[in-house]
Formats: sequence, structure tokens, C-alpha cells
Amino acid sequence: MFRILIATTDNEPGVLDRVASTFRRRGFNIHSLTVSPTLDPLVSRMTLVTDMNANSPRSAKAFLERLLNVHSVVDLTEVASLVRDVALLRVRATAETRSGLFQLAQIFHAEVLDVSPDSLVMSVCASPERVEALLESLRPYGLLELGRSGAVAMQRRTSIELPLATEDVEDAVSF
Amino acid sequence: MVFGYPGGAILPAYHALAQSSVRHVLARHEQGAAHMADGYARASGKVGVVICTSGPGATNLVTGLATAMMDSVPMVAITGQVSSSLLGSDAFQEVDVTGVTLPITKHNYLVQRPEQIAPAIREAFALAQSGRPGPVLVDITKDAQLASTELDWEAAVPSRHLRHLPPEVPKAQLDQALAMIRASHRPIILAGHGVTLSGASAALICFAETAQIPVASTLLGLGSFPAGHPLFLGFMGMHGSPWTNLAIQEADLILAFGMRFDDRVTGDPATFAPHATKIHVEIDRAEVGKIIQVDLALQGDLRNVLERMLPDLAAVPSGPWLARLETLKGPHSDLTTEPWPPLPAGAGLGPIEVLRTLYQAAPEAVWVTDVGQHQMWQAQVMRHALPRTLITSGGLGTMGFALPAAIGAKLARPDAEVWVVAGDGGIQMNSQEFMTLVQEGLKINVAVINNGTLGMVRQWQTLFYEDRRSAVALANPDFVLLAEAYGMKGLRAATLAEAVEATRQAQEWPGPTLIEFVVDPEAAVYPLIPPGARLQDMIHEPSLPTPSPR
Repeated sequence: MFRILIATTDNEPGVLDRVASTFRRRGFNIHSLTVSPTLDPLVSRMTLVTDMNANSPRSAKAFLERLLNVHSVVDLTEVASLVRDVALLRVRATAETRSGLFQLAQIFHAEVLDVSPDSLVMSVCASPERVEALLESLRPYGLLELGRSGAVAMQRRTSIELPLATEDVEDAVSF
Repeated sequence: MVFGYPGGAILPAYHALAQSSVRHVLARHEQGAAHMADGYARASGKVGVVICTSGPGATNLVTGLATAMMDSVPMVAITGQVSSSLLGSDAFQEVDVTGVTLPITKHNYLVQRPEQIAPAIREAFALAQSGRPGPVLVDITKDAQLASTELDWEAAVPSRHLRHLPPEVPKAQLDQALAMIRASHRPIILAGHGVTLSGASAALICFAETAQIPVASTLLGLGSFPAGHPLFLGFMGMHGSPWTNLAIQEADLILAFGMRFDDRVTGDPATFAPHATKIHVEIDRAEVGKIIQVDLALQGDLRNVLERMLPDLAAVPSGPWLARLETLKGPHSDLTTEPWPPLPAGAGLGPIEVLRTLYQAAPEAVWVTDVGQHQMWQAQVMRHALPRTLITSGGLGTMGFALPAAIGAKLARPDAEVWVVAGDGGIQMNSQEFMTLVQEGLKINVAVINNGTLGMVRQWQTLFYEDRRSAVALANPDFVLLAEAYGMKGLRAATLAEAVEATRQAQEWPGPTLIEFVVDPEAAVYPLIPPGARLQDMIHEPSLPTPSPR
């Protein structure tokens, strides 16, 4: 089961090393990890996705919060959250398959960025599940190359009554 | 006071140190200096400081830092580093020290500018002793040491160490714990190192007496509750007393105070205290539920928790339980005075007799042990009455710890009688520090329990590896001559009468002494819980009847 943790940390050299080392040392597997500065240039934000057993006695949150540079860790696994993953993917495309691929891109709100005689490049920004679904749909065509950003996540403010996108309702259930 | 060893990249700091009021103790090896700082911290409760150069100097600290990390010892290590312009170039004596020590420090710093030194040092000291204590390393480049800056001490006041200090435990949780205690019939307190670290000894005594709850102790908890107290049950775990381990298995309430359920304490965690509701009072959130799932966790300072519970605490009806524990103890419960286990006819000096002799000669001394059989016998035999009177490497089990740690302890507590107890293996791991001891003019007595073998390893080979003795026989120097070569008084004892006499002579001698106790090489530590077994599955001394749980 995937757990999504948001860690806010000091924005200084070596913090990523400390976080990654904590995961390695305690045997947590990092599925994806993204780091970027926040609105406050002194603070970084990490989104960690780890495939940890829900019943694991060792708490990644507690071990991360031992680190001096970590301000706080929020576990988004069990709260309504928005998760996005950016993927760039190159897929085999021939004159016969190209139109089918364009249709798929439309269904998944993916953008076709580059077209060459034997392939095309798409980008998609969606929930990790939706990215997986796109990948599955494209696999029969021949996936040639894949780059993914890893998940970026944010807790949903329930006070603002925007309807959840279908995929986010699904996320809330599956994550 | 700092412990250290100079070298190229830390020369500017030593240049200043020579003119300062800070006393510097020159070790003979950086590992020794690290253990000295550790022993100083454990004996005094203050932060121990070690300082050394880059590269090999800093890597020699690794074992000392890991030892302090495992046992939550407040320490600050200051290391020189090559100049910032050379960082990353594989310069002479350059090692990525912050990388190497990342998992074995609470935090570490690479300081490359002079104005960063004061904030880093101040934060390091604050962090080392806040929350769960531990070692912090500050690596300072040579150019940062050489450069000048305006020192703004006040601006460097630390605050980040406060980030993860837990707030006071909510009253509702204390009430919940009190209700669980009231409902119990067979409660037991497990006292760990946290009792000493939070200064909770007096509160713990009051708590146990008020509630009439017996107290068992981990290795590092020894001394935090007086061993002579009627409610003191004993040392628990792999080599703990049988009645203590059986009591844990029969208890209906475990009060785990400042301890972390080490595998040497729990045996098989799935079968640990199977009938007990468990309350864990622990300052480090990451320790809660790490090994044993508990019913109630109070994350906070132990002393604060105990003192706030005391006004509402009442005696539990533990009379039948305490009577049951007396039955479990049986007739052989006091190793301090009883000749147990009995020596086989014709055997030489038994190691337990040596520990008993030493303890009876100096019951109030600070005992600094090494690691192995003697360490366990010491824990079984000696009855520590006060916190910080047993200094030993528990979590990491670092051989070579005792001699340098005792130097630190003696410097922290110059008026205390300080004894080293070490095996013939461990004493040779840092024996160069005999010279530090002599140079500093310290009156320390060193007891070497010489069985000519790596006894604990030999014992495990006997019990678990078909008695195939692999690389355990030690040829040793003449320890008496060795001591004399360093300028210490050397003594030897091979019988009980000689042991008593040598101990007396050592105590009376004004300078440092070493006593070599030549003991039975086949002696083994019993009882023993095989690794991963249940607490009740103790292997007992073959010559003794096995106590039965019911």
C-alpha cells in the first residue's frame, strides 16, 4: 500500500540526503520523491510516496520528525488529497496508429508534444492512477521511453466546495 | 573540558585552545577520546566534547559516535575539515565526515564560513541534550577556522532543537494511565536509561512505593532505582534474573519507563509479556510501537509524567503478586552475597567471585565495564544504588569502551572511586589509553578478568555452534608488567584470597592500578535466553535446578 507523506524541511544542502538516509536505514522503500522550494525560500517541500505496509510498526513519519531539518510531516494517506504526477512518454506511432493515439491522448487529457515518423511524445498531468491507466492503454502500441516526475500532493481544503474531479474521488478511496 | 587529538585540519582550533581556559585531555587514539567524552557525559549528565582532525581522525570517531547514539549520550564532536576550496577534491586527509556520520549522529554540520561556527556550536550543544540526547558532530573547514569574523553570541541563540520536543502529556492521557494502573493486579515497572536521562530516579522511587509496584531494570537502567530496595526485582533480559523475566511474562500491566524494548530485553517480541496491558512512557515518538505494540503511549519527559501522576496515584492491591514474586525468586536471589553458582571442586578463581569481591570492597564506586561476559556478571552481581554508578555500552556493545570511558568518568567526578572492569579481550582494544590515564594523574583501578579467551563468543560457540572454538583463544601480554610499563601498579590474583588482598591493595595505592584476575576459562554466563526465544525459555546453569514458572 502506498503512503503519501508531505515533509516541510529547511531548504539547505544535505536535507534530501538525511531524508533518503532515514528511509534506507529503516527499510522503507521510496516509490517516488519530489523536492522543491516553497513560497518561503528558506523552506523546502518534499512529497514522499512509499509502499509501506499499513501495519508496519515503524513509523516513517516519526523517524522523519527526528531530523532537525524537518519542520513537520503530514501523512496524506487517509485524508482527502489531491495528487498529481507528470509523465512524459514516447510511444511508437505509425501512420496507421497515430489517429488512435491522438484519441487516447484526448481521453486522458494528455498533450501531444512531438510527432516524428515512427513515434510521438505525450505529456500528461494527472493522478498516479490515471497515469498508470494511460500507460496501460498505450502499452499495446509500444512504449519506447518514460519519464515521470513522481507525485506532488496537497491536502484538500474541504471548506471550499469545488466538486472533486472523478479521479480524485477514486484517489480518496484507493489511497 | 574536552577530549581530543590534534592534527592538520584542526590546527587553528588547537592554536586557540592552548590560550583558552578549556582543559584539553590528550588521548592516544581518537576512538579513545570519543569514549572519554561519552564516559564524561554519562558520569555527569553534561555534554561530553571530543575534538580531532579531518580524515582518519574523524573516521576514528565513528565507533564512539555510534556507541553514544545507541545509548542516547549527549556529546558534541568537533572535527577539522580541509579548506572549503579543496572540498570534494580528495585532498590530503579529506573524508566526507558529515556523510559518514549521518546515520550515527543526531545531526551534523559542515561549517565553511566563520560566521556559521557560533550558531552551529550553540545549536549542537542544545540539540545534544534536548529531547532524547545524542551525539552531534560539527565539521569545520580549516579556512573557516582561520578567518576572522565578528562574534555575535546572542544572535546565535539556537531554536531549531525545540522543533520536535513533545508538548506536555495531556492530563486525559495521565488519567487513562492511572485508571489502567488501578485496574491491575500484577503490575511491573520496566526502568530504562530514560529514568536516569530525565532525572526521574526520585520520582520513580516515590511512584513505585506509592503504588506498590515492583521494578525491573534494563542494563542501562541499573542504578536508576536502588537495587537494595524491597520493590527492586532485578536485571531483566537475555542474562537477567529468572524471576524478573518470569515476572514480566506473568504480569498483567507493563509500565515501560524510558526504555525501548531492545531485542536483548524482549526475546521474541511476539511472546513478550503476553498477558499484559502495556503503557509506554517515552520521549522519542519513533520508539513507540517500534518493537512492541502498546496500549497507551505517553510521549514526553518521564520525570514530568511521573511527578504529575503522583498526586492521583494510589496503592494497587499487589500483595498477592509481590508474594508470588518472592516465591519466584526462591533461595538464590542475591548473587552479591551468595556463593552462586557453586564452584566445581578444583576450579580456580570464579569470575562471579571476582565481581562479588570487587563489589563488596567498593559498593558505592562508579563501575565502568567493557562488553562481554564480565559485563553481564557485573550486572547480575553488583547492586547499584544510585544513577550514573554503572557506565557501560549497552546498545552498541562496544569492546574497548571501558578504559577510556572511565577516564572521562573520573574527570567528571574526581571525588568518586572509579573502577574499570574489562575482559582480557576488550582491555586490549584501547589499551593505549593507559598512558592517558597516567599522564592525567588519575586514580583509577582497572580489573582485568582474564580467562585467556573471548569468553562470550566462546560461550555462544559452545552453546549454539557445536562447541567449535573458532578464533577465541587469546595469547596475552603479562598484564602486570604492562601496567608497570605505563607507570601503574600491577597486581595479580588467582585465588579468592589473593583477589581480596589485591583489591584491598589497589584501593590503598595512591595511584592507578591494574589487577589481573586469572579466572576459570570455562565459566559461562547463566541464565541465558537464546536469541529470539521466549523470556521463559532460559538456559540455566547446568549444575543448578531449573526454577519452574508455576
